[in-house]
Amino acid sequence: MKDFHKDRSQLILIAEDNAGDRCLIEEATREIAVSFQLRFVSDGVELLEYLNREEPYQDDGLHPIPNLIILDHHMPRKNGLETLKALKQHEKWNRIPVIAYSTSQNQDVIGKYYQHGVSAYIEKKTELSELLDTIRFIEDFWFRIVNLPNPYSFW
Amino acid sequence: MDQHLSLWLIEDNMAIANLIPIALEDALLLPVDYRHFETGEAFSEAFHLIRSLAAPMPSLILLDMNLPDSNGLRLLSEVRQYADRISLPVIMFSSHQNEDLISMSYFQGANAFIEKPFDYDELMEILNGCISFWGNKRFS
Repeated sequence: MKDFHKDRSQLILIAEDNAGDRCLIEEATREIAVSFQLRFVSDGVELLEYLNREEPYQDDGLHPIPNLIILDHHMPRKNGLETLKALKQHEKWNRIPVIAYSTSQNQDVIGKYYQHGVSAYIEKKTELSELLDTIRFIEDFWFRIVNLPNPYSFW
Repeated sequence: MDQHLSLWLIEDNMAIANLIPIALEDALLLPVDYRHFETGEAFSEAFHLIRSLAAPMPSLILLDMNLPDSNGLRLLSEVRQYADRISLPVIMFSSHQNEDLISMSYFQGANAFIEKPFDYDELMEILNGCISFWGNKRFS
């Protein structure tokens, strides 16, 4: 099992188009003082640009490759499912686990995500108190129990 | 819960295999269908039987990385070959971690890579997390 000391080097990259939701997530992670770093991109296209090291994401120190990706389902340009497909078809990015979230609890949608290789699917929370619980659970499980890949071992 | 939870464990260490049903009861207080396979071959047979009968797949699989007769990664790719079953959550369970094993597991389509628990409390945490995220295919 991993050490329980907080490892600030682990990074979650979240694709979320809604500025309100981004603020809420930031506020929640500040309140909990989470052990991981957090970065946002505004949709799937931008997420791919980030991983591709396209402008303005060339600087590896400023924009490290994430250990875990979280995708909102509803996004303009490239939604969560389309983004997931692109990631899982890529020979390197397919090693980074992806969590999808949405307010939709439609079993067909959830099934599609799993068919395309999502690691987990979670319900989107818009209340701060509920979001705090979800983030605590993500931290406890995905950062303390699960071993995430080191993206630089295959980059 | 939408349906009865079922967990399959493929693991040759009998101590862990015997503790899991106890921990499931302790941690979750809900009935879980639990099947244990001591070898890769036994699991493979059951998996293909269920496929051929179109019977319900387990809610999730905990798959030991090192089995006496097989390799966890090979079994994982066997499960992932069947596109209709790719939505089956598979969690790799390993007694040691190294970057290549972790990276290869995700590459082959593991939902998560978890190092085996050090003690009983950790085992409960692992099961609790696995059931929360995959018992119902979603975390809410």
